[in-house]
Amino acid sequence: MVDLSRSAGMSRSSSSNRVSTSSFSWRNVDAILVSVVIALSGFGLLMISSATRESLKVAELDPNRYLKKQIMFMVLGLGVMLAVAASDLRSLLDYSPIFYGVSIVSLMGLFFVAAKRGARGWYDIGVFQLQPAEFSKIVVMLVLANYVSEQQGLVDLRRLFAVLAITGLPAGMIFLQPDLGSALVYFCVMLAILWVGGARGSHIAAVVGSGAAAVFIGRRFGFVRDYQWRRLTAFLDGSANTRDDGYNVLQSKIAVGSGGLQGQGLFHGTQTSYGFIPERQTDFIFSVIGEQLGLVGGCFVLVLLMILCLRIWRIAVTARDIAGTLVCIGVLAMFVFQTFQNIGMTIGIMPVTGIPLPFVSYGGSSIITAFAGIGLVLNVARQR
Amino acid sequence: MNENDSGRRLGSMALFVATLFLALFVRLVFLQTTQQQAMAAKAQRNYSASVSVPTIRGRVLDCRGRILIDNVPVNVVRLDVSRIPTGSGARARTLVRLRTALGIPYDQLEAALANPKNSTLEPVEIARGVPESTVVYLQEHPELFPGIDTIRTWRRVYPYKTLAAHVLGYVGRVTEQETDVASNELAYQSYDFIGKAGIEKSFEKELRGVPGRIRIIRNATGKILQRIALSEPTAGKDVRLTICVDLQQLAETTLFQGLFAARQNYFVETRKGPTRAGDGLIKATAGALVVLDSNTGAVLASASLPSFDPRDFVDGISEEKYAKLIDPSKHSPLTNRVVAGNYAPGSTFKIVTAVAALKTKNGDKQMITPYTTYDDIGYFRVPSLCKDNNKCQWNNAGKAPLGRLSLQSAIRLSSDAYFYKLAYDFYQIDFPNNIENIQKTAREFGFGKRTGIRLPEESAGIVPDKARLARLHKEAPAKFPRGKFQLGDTINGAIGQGDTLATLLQLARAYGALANGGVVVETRINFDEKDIARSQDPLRSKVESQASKPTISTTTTTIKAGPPPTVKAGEEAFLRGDGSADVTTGPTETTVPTVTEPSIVIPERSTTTLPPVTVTPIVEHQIDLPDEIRNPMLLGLQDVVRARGGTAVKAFIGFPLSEFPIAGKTGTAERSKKQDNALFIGFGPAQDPKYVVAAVIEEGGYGRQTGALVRRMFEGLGGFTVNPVRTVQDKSREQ
Repeated sequence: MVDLSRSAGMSRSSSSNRVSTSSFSWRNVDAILVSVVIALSGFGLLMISSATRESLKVAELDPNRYLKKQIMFMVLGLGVMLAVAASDLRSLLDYSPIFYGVSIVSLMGLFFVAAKRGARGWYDIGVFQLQPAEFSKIVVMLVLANYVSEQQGLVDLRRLFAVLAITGLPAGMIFLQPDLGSALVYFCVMLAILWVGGARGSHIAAVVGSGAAAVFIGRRFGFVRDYQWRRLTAFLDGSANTRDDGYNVLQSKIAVGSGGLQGQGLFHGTQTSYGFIPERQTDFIFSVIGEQLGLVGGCFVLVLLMILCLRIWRIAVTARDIAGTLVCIGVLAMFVFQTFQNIGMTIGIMPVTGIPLPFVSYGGSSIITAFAGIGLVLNVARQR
Repeated sequence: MNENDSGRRLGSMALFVATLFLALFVRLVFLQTTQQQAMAAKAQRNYSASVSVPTIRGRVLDCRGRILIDNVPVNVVRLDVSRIPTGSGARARTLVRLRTALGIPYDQLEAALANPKNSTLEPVEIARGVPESTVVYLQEHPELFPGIDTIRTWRRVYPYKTLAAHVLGYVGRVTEQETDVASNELAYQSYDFIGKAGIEKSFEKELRGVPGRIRIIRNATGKILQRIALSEPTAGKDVRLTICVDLQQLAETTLFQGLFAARQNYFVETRKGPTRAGDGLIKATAGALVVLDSNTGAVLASASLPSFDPRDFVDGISEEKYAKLIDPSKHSPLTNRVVAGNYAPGSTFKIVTAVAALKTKNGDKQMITPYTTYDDIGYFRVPSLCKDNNKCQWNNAGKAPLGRLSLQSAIRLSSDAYFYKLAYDFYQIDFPNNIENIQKTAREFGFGKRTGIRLPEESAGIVPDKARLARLHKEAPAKFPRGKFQLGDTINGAIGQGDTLATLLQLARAYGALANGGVVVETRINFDEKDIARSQDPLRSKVESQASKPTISTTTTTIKAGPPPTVKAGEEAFLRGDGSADVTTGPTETTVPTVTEPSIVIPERSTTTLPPVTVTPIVEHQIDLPDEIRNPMLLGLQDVVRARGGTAVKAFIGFPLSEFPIAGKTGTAERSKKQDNALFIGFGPAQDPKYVVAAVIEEGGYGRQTGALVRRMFEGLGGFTVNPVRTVQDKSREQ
């Protein structure tokens, strides 16, 4: 795999790659993309503060507790982004199997932790909870982009199964954590890379179809747990009025709806301050935005995220080689799915899964992963 | 894959991404514009609620302000079913915590949650009477008890226990209809109790008060952060009754003893045919007694047996228990027989017939005078009717001939034949103008309509006449084949039989009217505010009591209790109305516990009594009753208890009639396939009547036995030593 000459695209890019690596300069950084990311993260900081300050005060904790931590994560994320952007993409791709191995081991390690401490998807490292499921997204993207780009647009059935296996191993372990939402992110990233990487439409359709069938069969034989099934279907039942997911979605819809056009103002809003919105600084941060800043605030976030996605798409299209395109497409798929899933959940058109809103939701692993993804895209953009 | 294909796929992907964003945008706009108001309303309901604050229900006081019904605070715990977690583990944990905290069986909690009636709209009551410490614990841990809501409201208490149960009535949970109908005015909540019978029902509006309202602000765990008072609750008004505790106590023990004294006698059936009850021990299944102030219409005591315990109702009564209380085979203990018992008045009705006859003119002469005599040969026969197998002969009880009788002696001996003859005369003189004179007079005395007492159960009774029979025949020809009122109907009506029905209260009032010179007053169970205000101004009350003669003070007499009566096993249970004693088989002989005269327990706080209240009577009707009519009748009624052959003489042996003369009348009303009802109505003192006592014993056999019961009441009212009710042994004929 280290042999660069095996890929036609790579042989074309290798010389310039080395040139650009040695000459990283700010002029090559995609200004639009970085501005959007900075704007989103800054807005996220504001909303995290607005969502948590009152309840932290009531609990007699530091009202800026989450804000401070998130700033720290962001600084860390920016560093990761720059590092990834400045590194050699080719080497990243070439070393991706090693990263992959590390990811698999860390995901497996969670089972031993879980056996001791109950189900959860992270390692406790002092101030920070390391979620391998987040970082592995980037690794899987790289592995898939590398593998598919090597096929030169010829993803036959055998290779399709290889792709499925590469994705399925970490995604399956994440599903068993259990974290259905993150597992779905892997699935979407894989589909997007397959689609752009040249897999047959019928194959992709078959993969999607058998995935859906697997869920139903899993439900039939108890592999899909009851609560997971309820989560998947709760949003369909508009009248669901329980303390669980249906209740959470209802409260979120109430928050967003009651925001109206202009919202009730930052740090205001009864749904937020009286605690009716669950997980308000993480998964349901958009409900807080909807309640406090209304349609204006909601559209602001939507537009920023859309610019982000279109910008990544643009870089994917103009990438110098297929590997770069696929890396960008993987990152794009991750952001699009997370955005649609997260916001869709808060406004009641998607099921409840614990997926953060990119750059806006509180959370170390997720924000660093998002910055790393942007780093990859910047890396590709740098080489055009 | 060529470049074109790759570009096409990238393009389609952009389109797909744009579509997803569009979907989010469209949904967001829909939610924040079209749905904005609905969602804002829901948001408000989440954190803020306008809550009713229970108000204290008015108390019920006796004539001197002693508390008959009081309140104690009680905590109600309710559960908002929609806030119980649905995950099986979390749900079970919540229920187990509730079970532990409240001591309610798990199954019961599950049942309350599963009941489809308990929709998500209104919290479900799961416990009442929860200790204060538990309530505080629940309120402090909303996170452990999601959806729990505690309310402090009031529970009725009865310091005198079962005393005057029928008058006081009982409370029950509001039904859905009641909350709907009254929601605007009295703001009933599902945890509220409402008057269902008696005073509790008829004075519901006064007793209820106005609940207050507060706005509460709560967070998502249900913890209340803020309470904002919107309106203060107004306590319900007290109701002060004309009933006096000591006299009521006497009435209840007297009635109790009276029923069992009656059961010592043997009933001899005088009738023939399919409607006879047969001979046997007197059953005395039920009874009622009322003491009325003859001048003001104030009810001073009112007892009905079998009775019930209003305390069974204060937290809601079980269906099983309630079914027993309304079971006719257990003699419907909930029925207040004083106002809701419809009785054929029997011979007690003869005063009406007598007054009707004395007031009927035959040309410019009277139809009869008090001194007109008639020879009672044991029966009255109308030969002209005797063809076609028609009934043409009406008998005295046992067909006993009583000889030549004036009105006075006809009343004393309770001759039926004499009054049959009067009924016949109404048909003979100036036909057909006088044939409904009895009915006319009966209505003047207040029969056939309610007496105005504020008790919801009161019945109007029946005065049968031509119009009524014709109407019934027209409505249901099968049930009433005969639409024409005939001589026989009038003859039966003259002695209070046939279709004539009256309540004990109507009879008491009618005798009161005869006693007080013809004033038919509205009966009263409570003092209204005007009465009380007037009484608290001593000067004014003095002036007024002199100005309007029939105003009378309700100061009660001290009652000296006599020796305790002996009561047989099973009888006490019967009295309490739990129906466990089968009264038809009579009391068992084995164990003979002694029941002492229940002593009057006056609770600590009510030892200070209020000044007596005077009642201004509300005159409903004034009967023209000149002394020439009234005096001979009063003499006849006095003879009933004092003169030889008087139907109730045996019951009044030993009573100091010279000090406290009494007038009265027995009544023995026939019933189909049952023993006769025994009635007695007396008033006294006869020269200046003040009290009317009316009593009935269902299947009591003979009116004179009920006389013994009334005698005991007059012993108390007259301030004499009160003796146990005796069994009146008298084999002689009596009606």
